[in-house]
Amino acid sequence: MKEMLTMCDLPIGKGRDATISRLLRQQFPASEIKFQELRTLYSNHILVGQKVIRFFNVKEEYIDKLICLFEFYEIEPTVYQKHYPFPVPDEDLTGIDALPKLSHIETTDENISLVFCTRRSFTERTEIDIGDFNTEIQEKLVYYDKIYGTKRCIYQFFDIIVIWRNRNLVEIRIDITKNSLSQEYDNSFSRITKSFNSLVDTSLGIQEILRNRVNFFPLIDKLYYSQNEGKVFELFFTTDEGSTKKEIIKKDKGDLRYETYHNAGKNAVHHITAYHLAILWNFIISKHIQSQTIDIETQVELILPGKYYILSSTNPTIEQIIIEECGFIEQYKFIFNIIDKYLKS
Amino acid sequence: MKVSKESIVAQIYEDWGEKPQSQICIVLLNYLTHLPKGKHYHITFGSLKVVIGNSYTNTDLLKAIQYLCGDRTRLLDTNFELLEDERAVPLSHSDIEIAQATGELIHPKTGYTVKNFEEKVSLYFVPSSLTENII
Repeated sequence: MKEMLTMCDLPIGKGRDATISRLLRQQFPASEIKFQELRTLYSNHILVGQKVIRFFNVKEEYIDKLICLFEFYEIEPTVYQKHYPFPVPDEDLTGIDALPKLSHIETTDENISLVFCTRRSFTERTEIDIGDFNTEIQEKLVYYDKIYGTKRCIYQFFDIIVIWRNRNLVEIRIDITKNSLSQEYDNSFSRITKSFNSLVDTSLGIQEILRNRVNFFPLIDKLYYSQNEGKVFELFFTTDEGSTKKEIIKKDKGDLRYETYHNAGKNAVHHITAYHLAILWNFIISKHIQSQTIDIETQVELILPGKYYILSSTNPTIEQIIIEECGFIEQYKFIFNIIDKYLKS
Repeated sequence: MKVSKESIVAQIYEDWGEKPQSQICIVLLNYLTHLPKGKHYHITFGSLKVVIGNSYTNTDLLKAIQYLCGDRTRLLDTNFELLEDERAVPLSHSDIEIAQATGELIHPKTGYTVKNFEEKVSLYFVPSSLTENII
């Protein structure tokens, strides 16, 4: 958010509340253009921010049909669509069913993005301070070190399906939260794939259009051995003597590929077999503000989240990737082009 | 009994001729004979894929591995393990034979039946005794 405000030349306060109060003091109409710009950046952020992603190969003829279908598609009115790009207020979310609803369509020269909104519920577990209870209850709880409460929380998620023109490719990007479990991703992917496949089946008579998932596993070695591509900060691998290594380097330090300990180990064996990689790139976004160019330094991360047992498979497969710290379309395009380049190489 | 590397190479060519498996088997033979002796190994399919590089398909590699696990040119022995989260429990060949015959895998440590065991059992390779005797 901080980068977005900087890009719109809007003030930033110390913390969320201070920033909001500074923004509220902005003079209209001078700042109206800036707020409009912020809204556009926020809408773009919904398309690319904090996502777990799957790619699907789709025949060219089907891509053409999908583009024809969705270019002028009329979305059924829903409460999500009414509020888009902003989330539905919490009190209105509880009454909505949990099915993904097509809420917005974004069309560019390169692709068409379909935004599906969903309500998902989670059970959150929070520690309760024993000191908050009265003395009588505190006495009853004297033998407990910690007390936990669970509550059911409901959040709105923005899941995206991107139909790429001239690429024979469809992407699904699922919203993620910090504590999401991989099982939750699978459920979300399955729900949105089902909704989309059913919509396409009904409209175009094409059954199960999203079924050929792209395997990202080969990207691990291609990126790791690419020398100058990004900075590797997590590498999990096995050796043929039966050990599993999980190496992590602080993001602001060097690159694992050139770290002394890592290199010494790697050079001592014939090869290592990697199954998980996290890599980041420094990315500068340039913005013209009042006749001067401001460079905003950002970092974007690509995670190829593998488990060690995939190496036992006769076709080691990673079907989803995570892109983190990505808030701008430019950053996503940058990473997307790298993925595309190495998948084809 | 000592066996010459040349005789194994000749046998591989005799069996596979110009097929990609000849090259794959020879790359794997070279790799296995260069491993330090007297150590324990745990070699996955993914690792053997790294050894042979990107020029061959998974199917080509799989055929070569099946051949190298066979009686004629046994360079690899197979082993099994049960994968539980981040840990692996070794399984004996008899555990697997019983599971295949009965459709039920008994956990070697707890004695309980393992649900959906087909998804949890993993295969890996170790260099055979023949590799120790190649000169």
